Amino acid sequence: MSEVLSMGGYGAYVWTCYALSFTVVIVCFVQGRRRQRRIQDEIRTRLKVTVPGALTMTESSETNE
Amino acid sequence: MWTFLHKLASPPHFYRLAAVLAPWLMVPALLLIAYGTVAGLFFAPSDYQQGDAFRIIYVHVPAAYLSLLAYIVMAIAAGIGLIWRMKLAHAVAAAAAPLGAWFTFLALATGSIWGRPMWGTWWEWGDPRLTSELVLLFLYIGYIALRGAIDDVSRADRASAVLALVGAINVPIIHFSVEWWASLHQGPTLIRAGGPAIELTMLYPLLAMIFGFSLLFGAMLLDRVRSEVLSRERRARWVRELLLPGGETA
Repeated sequence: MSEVLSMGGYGAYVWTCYALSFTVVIVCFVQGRRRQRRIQDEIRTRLKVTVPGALTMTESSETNE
Repeated sequence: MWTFLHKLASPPHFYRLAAVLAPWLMVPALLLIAYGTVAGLFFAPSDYQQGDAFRIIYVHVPAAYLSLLAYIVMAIAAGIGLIWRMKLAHAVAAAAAPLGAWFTFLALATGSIWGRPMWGTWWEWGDPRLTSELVLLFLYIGYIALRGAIDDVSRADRASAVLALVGAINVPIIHFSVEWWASLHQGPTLIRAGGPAIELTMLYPLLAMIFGFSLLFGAMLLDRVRSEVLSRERRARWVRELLLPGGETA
């Protein structure tokens, strides 16, 4: 077990790299999900305020143009 | 074909499709990464020169590979957005940038940690591979900052697209830097004349990691393009129907 941990003396370097990699991937993923939730919340809040006048809102973007 | 493309580029359709597609990329990505990590750390034999330090390759190479792939995706999407005025393409470019920046940071960090025991230094100014990869990080940061500085979305799209396209010149420089100039960095292992120069038991985990990270990138990219689309389409009727209380949430 300690042999695996020591990685032939390079343990500190190897394990740091792997820990960092998984941290970055997780941060990356969570950052994306948080942004999605924030945008949804923003839009919902705005909709609640403006829904009575919803008919005046832009009808747009069923297509890309 | 054109109707298919047109439908794909329609924001509500893409928004739904991306949500369906992402898990199909995410699950195989996690399986491949799990296999690659275990096999790379414990089952691949030690390198005859680098000992166990070489195992850093299984995270460093996928990160470096994705740092370039994300830029290529970003630049092509930005180009399509500029030429055909396609909003979805601009959304893809904008979504790819932070992912690319993260993977570039990871490539630099793991490379630095690998360099310390192998080259005896964390960083070498003037080394072409290291310097060009650092420039890549600055390009991503510049791209993100430029977008953040312009309030009008379509102006931000155009300005940042030009930056992305100009910066694309750095991609071949990074790739060929180790061949064009003397570098501390080792030469290519996989994409080289004469085929991969690596033992199969070392190669398979590496391919699994590269492929797994790529799928993971794809899944996270879809996630972020959805957010971009939602943000850009906030005034559209389909968004209102999707997010109104009582409506379907996603």
